[in-house]
Amino acid sequence: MNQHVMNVMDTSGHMTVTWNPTVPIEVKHARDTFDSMAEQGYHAFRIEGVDQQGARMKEFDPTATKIMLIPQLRGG
Amino acid sequence: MPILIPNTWVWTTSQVATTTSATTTIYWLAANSTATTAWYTPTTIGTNPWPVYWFGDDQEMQQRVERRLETNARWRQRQLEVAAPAIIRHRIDDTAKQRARELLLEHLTPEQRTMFELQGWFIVWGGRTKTKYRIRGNRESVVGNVDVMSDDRVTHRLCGHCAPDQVPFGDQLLAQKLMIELDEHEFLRIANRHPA
Repeated sequence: MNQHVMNVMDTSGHMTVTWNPTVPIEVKHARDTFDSMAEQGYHAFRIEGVDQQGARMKEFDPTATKIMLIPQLRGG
Repeated sequence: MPILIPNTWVWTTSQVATTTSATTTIYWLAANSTATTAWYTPTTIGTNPWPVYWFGDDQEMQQRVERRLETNARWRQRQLEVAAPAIIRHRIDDTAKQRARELLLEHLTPEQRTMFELQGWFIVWGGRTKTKYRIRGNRESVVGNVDVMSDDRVTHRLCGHCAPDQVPFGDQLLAQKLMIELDEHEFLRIANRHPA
């Protein structure tokens, strides 16, 4: 098993998309989801390691083990 | 390259909407055929690049299609502005809140988790400036819930969050944490500043 995970925050708490980087159709599904949410203004973060370090992502990277997509923030 | 549609063909549309997307399919049917063909399926609301339609000399047909496409665009916009938010507000339930809280706890360090469970807040450090922030989650409100700290003193508060009806409360706190730690500059650009 080599499952990579993408959590997309939504009204249900979050939706989870998983993919194996060696399976093209799974990578395509994950990439399409990423691109669709990015178009809607979601922020994407790559999260790595037990200390939860990470970085902002602008493009989908199938090698990322965990990605978090959060809706656009606004000032209040 | 324009798409050539014979003038003898007729067309109709089918629309399907969810809370986050809407799809319009245009079916073309030859006059002497019983089979329909899904000619074009645009994707998500607001990101739909309609194709170029070309109807030869039939200007009236082209105008009818353009009017229908405009109607469809208004329908999709209405789904976003009216129907979807109403459904979204209804769907944030206790299960969603619990899932969001679990996701938040999963992404906190052991120290942050202890702070949050005992005191209702946790400390994060700005990824760029190394400023100390306190994210408060003890009032179930994200209005001005980010304290900017200097030592143990609050210098001012920041208000920056997702739309309240878009994600449960736990997700709001996690979104703030990720933004402060991994894209602090953008968070500071978005958030409004309030006195302590």
